[in-house]
Amino acid sequence: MRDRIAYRLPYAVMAVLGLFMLVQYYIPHQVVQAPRQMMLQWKQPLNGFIILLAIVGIATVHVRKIYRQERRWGYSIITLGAMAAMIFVGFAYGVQEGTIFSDWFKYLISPIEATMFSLLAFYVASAAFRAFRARSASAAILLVSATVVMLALIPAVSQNIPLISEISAFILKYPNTAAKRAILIGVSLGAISVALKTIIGIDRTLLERDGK
Amino acid sequence: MNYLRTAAAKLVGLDRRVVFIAVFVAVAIPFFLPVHFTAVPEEETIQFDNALVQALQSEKPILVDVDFGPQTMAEMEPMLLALLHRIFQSGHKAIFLTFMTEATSPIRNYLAEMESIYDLEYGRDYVFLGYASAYAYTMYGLGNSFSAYFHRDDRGTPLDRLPLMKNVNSLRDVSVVINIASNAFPRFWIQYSVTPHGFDFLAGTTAVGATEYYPYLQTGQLKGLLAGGRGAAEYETLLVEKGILKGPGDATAGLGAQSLALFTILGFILIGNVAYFLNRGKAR
Repeated sequence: MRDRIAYRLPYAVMAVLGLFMLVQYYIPHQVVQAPRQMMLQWKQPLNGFIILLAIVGIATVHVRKIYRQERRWGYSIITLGAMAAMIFVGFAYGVQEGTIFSDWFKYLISPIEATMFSLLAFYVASAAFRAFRARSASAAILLVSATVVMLALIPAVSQNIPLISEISAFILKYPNTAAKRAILIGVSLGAISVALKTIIGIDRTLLERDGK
Repeated sequence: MNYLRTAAAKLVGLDRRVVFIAVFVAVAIPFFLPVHFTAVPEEETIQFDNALVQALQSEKPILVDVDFGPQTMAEMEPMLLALLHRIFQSGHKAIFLTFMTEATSPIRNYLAEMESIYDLEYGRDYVFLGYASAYAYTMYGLGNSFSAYFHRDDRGTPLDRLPLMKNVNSLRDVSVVINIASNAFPRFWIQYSVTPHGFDFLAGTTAVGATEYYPYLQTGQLKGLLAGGRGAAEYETLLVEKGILKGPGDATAGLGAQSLALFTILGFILIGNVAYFLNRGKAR
């Protein structure tokens, strides 16, 4: 009996809350809107717990790696050390401008992130050279479209050959919009069906492990 | 012809380090040689400014959500700075917030810069609400209440003690919402907040992400779009023409590096395809 309750309770909670959030959208009355507002506010403290879970997850993975001395376990020490140091200085000295936390963020994390992202330009160029080939009719259409849009982004080209700009604007406004809209509608219908399956309780994979 | 095919075979197997060096040289040249470009404002950029002009005529403050980190700063920072000059030069008031932790520190710096240029008073001319988690819920919830999601601003002051926030209870009390973002947050704003609450919304995105927003421009859910570094450069040109900026900014300066990098990538795509077709002929 207890097992059945433990199994069904999460689905019942999901169904009730899911249906409530669905219905509240159409009922502007305070009776429905007040609890909705309260539930929306729950999400912020819940996010704090999600971050805590993430920290515990990272720590567990890397401690295990160090303990077993798996491949490249030395990097795990750096990861854990960096995480512990940031957490410590954040709690000890605050996170406002001028603190150690802020300086480390500004002078370590920011340049690292910017460097990683800058490397993309090199990889994109290399990947475009190797893979962007007119191997079929559809690949040729994609290649020509991309070339026109890229050319239109270069002021020297778009200002001297206005036709390139016009074709690029046409590609972005019509074929691109049509394709994006089709994808958006498809994804939305999929999301609705998954949500309904979860609310009604048809999709039970969410809380099951190994089919149990 | 055989010579060409041998060359093509060699090109197909070109070492990627050659590609890397070529891109590096293309990006570096404009830093040493004066390569000047200007961007002519396109329709989306003009729409963006027209919608903003309408908002600037209102008494209500503007809400600006800034969501980009160091990764995309080169592309997004000039866009935000142009926008800040546009807002503060007209003497309008603005409220700022972010859904990205890494954006908080740069925003404080940008606002401090504007404060010194335009002699702004914090709390009266502008407010920075700081970072908010749970973006989708907050975007949706702000339609009903600011104070439920932000109890204090970034400096720890309760919202009811800030003169600018006295008459701002929900998104109905702002003239326009602008999201300058390097991620999918403009889409979330449209889906979670613009649609249920119905307010004017403008966005500035990276060039890569911009294509996603054309359907929303067509439906009017998005009133204007600044698309990447090029969009920022177009906006700088527009603001220079209107006398708001004294001269073009970093986005226009970056057009040289961007143009040469694009030329290089297009060149490699062309070489790759020519080599592919010549090589295919050889295989047959």
